[in-house]
Amino acid sequence: MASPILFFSVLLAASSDASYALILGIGLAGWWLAAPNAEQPASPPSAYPLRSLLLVCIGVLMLAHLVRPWFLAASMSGSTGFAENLALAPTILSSTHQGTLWYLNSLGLAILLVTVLLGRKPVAIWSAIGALCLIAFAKAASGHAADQGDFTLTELTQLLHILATAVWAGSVLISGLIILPRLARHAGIATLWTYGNRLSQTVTWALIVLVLSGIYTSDRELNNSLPALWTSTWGKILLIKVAFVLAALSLGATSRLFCLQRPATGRRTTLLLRLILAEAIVMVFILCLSGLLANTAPPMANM
Amino acid sequence: MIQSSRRNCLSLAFAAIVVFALFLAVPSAFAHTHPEAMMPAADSTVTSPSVVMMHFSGAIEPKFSHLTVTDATGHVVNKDSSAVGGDAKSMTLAMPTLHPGVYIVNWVAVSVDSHRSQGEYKFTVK
Repeated sequence: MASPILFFSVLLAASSDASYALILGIGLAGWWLAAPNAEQPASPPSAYPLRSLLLVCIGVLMLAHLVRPWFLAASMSGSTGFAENLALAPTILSSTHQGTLWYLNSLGLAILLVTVLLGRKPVAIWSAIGALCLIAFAKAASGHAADQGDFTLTELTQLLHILATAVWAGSVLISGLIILPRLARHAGIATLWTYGNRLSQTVTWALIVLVLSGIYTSDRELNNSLPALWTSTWGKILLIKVAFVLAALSLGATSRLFCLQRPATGRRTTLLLRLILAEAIVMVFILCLSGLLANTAPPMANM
Repeated sequence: MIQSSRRNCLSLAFAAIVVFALFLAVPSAFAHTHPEAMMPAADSTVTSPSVVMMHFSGAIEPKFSHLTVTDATGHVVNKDSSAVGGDAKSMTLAMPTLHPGVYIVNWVAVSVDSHRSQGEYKFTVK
């Protein structure tokens, strides 16, 4: 595939995946804000600009979904011609694995949009969760994990990895950059602490899933060869990434053990906000290394 | 108020950049499907084969994957089109009787994850 098309293809995937993570983060933040609290929340969920952001993210997801068949055609045909790839799109949608997944993703997006328009009714919330799982499955099944067939352990692991990554990234970023600073300014410390504990518990579980699924995926890509960790470029980058992941885990654990599990004070609130900011910065490095890994051939390619 | 809005915008922009970078890794962190076995084998010398067969490491798309065989002068010698097997990982191509000489198998394989790979190898008919 030609470089500009590859660039835009990656841009497309990244935009839709970023939107997906933020949608999950918004959903979780809204849930934590609305959940019963020992202290009356100072600001109701509607006081945060979450709904507008949610609609923007769904819009980006839909736009990326609509143009995806053209990029699939470009990838499969190796052609850069606009009209040629446009003409191939119906064939891809009707007779390929990616076409089936495109329809599955369409269904998930349609359900998600309807549920968002319905509001906070229980049926809408459960339908939205189902739609998000459907979208995540379509993504997991569209990657190399599906090469050995659908509904395999590899594909299930990839699904869990995608969901855990989205929960981690989405909830830390939405909470750390939008919700927590507002709560610190406008709500009581107890409210912020309650919210922080909900965030911390969820992220802890997401990280456990993320690490376990990451180990499985890495082992597969290393072709079950541990020495490939230090003999291949891909393995060396992975080792550096693991070091940063450990740093992020340490920051998360510090905020949990030294702030959230102790009585709330002004000093600890300041420390908590700084730790979450530091975690976000470490996350940037992790993500850059992930990007580098994505563009480096794993040892599996040399089988 | 204005400072608060600016802070929100910066926060959202930062969040978007971070999540964007995160997912650069997720979709394409895997190797493409690659050939695992060929018949006739690459660089082998054989009697005229009735079929050319290739087996790949992963499932491939029948509509976009194909084999062709050319002789030393570049002329296509196969009369039929290649077909993907029931396991979705192999392709076969029926061959007419070949005269002695060098032949080149050109292959294109599109894996179910939409990645396209292609290549060629040669064999000799004695």
